[in-house]
Amino acid sequence: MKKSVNFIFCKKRKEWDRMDAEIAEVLGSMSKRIEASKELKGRIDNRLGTFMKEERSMSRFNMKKVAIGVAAACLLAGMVCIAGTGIKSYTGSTSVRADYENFTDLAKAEEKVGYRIDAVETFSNGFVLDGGIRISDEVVRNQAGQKEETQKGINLKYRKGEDDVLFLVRKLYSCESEAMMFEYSAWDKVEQENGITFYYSRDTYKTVPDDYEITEEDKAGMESGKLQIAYDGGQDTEVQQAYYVGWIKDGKVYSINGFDLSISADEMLGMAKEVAGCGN
Amino acid sequence: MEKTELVRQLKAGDKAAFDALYEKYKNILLRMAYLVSGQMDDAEDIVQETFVKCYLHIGELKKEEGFQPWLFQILYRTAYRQIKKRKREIPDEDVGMRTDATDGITSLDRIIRTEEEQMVYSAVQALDFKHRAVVVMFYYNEMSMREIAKVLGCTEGTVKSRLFTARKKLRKSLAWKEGGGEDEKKRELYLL
Repeated sequence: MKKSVNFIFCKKRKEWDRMDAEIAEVLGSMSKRIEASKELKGRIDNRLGTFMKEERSMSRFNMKKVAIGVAAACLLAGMVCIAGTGIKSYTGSTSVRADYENFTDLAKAEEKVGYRIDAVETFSNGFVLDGGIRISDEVVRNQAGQKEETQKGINLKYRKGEDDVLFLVRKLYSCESEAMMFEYSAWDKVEQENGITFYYSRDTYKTVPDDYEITEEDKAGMESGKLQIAYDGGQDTEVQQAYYVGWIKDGKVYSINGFDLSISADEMLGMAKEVAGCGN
Repeated sequence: MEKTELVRQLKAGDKAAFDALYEKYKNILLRMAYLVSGQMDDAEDIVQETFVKCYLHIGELKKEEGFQPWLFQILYRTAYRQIKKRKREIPDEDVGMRTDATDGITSLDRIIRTEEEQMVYSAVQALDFKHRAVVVMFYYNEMSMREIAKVLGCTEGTVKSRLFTARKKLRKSLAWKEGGGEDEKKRELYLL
């Protein structure tokens, strides 16, 4: 009986081995006739070229786009979070309540984020700190949605009459460079002072319902960087003017942002220069 | 240059390293993609997507030594999605009509030349994706259970079980070649 079982297993084993060898041989010989076409590499390079172009484009736009998005969330919607989209997504979130109420607490905020910033309590044109100091948690994610880098940013809100502006500071991410961020050419005004370049723009910020369909005109506006569209889940479309002035100093990204402001480009640039020239 | 060095350079953003890795892997991946998808058009699409993902996500690869299983994993996941997409777009009954024909010679005619090849190819293609993937890695890539498990993100036990089922099905499909159907019952008994 034992012999018989062994015989069956041996026979079975041989058959399995024969089948295994045959399948391996057939798949191997068939496969050798398959060669990658020359066009395949070209198609891959084209796809990568498109991604790299988008990535550069995103880097150019992100400084303004994300700052305006964060400002919109804080100033318009009273929300706490906003994200830029593209090859990389940038998210900044803050608490609704200010982390520190008074300007004298700025040093505590700086200690918390781990770096020092330039800031003023009152601007010479009358904007005063009103809304305290907030610490934001900033995240940059890759296309797969994975966190690439995190950091803490500082936001200060100022008011003058009916105008609110948000002053944002964060460090440059390692994937960003000063040169890349300012390649973007659609600035309305660019000025230099003490080796710092200040970039000003006034763009259209359009808040649309979730079912809004982007028009050709929208696409052209977004492509040029002069239009930003935000889906807010509401029913109506609202168009506002987004004001932005940004600069980079000592590896930190600064911006002052507001909506439908009653101040001129020169006045906003003046506010930026005031901050940059007063390192505390 | 060593593969791990190329991967290290690719992680640093060196496009030339990517081109060199493409040359090393293009045919291996294309052949795997073809065997697992059964369509030359799909195979090229799968390989294209695999290399694009490889370039874009290389930063997520922790150890350079793990490049090959990581690349194969991308290929199989991409293939799975591509096959699912194709099934939605082309119903099963129409798949046979889509023969990638050019000048009356189909891509299959170019690749499959003998009756034996046709039989093995058909038997492999008749398997479902998860079994076919294991069969391709086991027979074509000659990978161990452990390596296959790493690529598929499952346990070695699962790979063994899938391979056992796949071999059983292949054996049944290829049975007539072994001498007709009368031994089939006996073989089934051996397997049990």
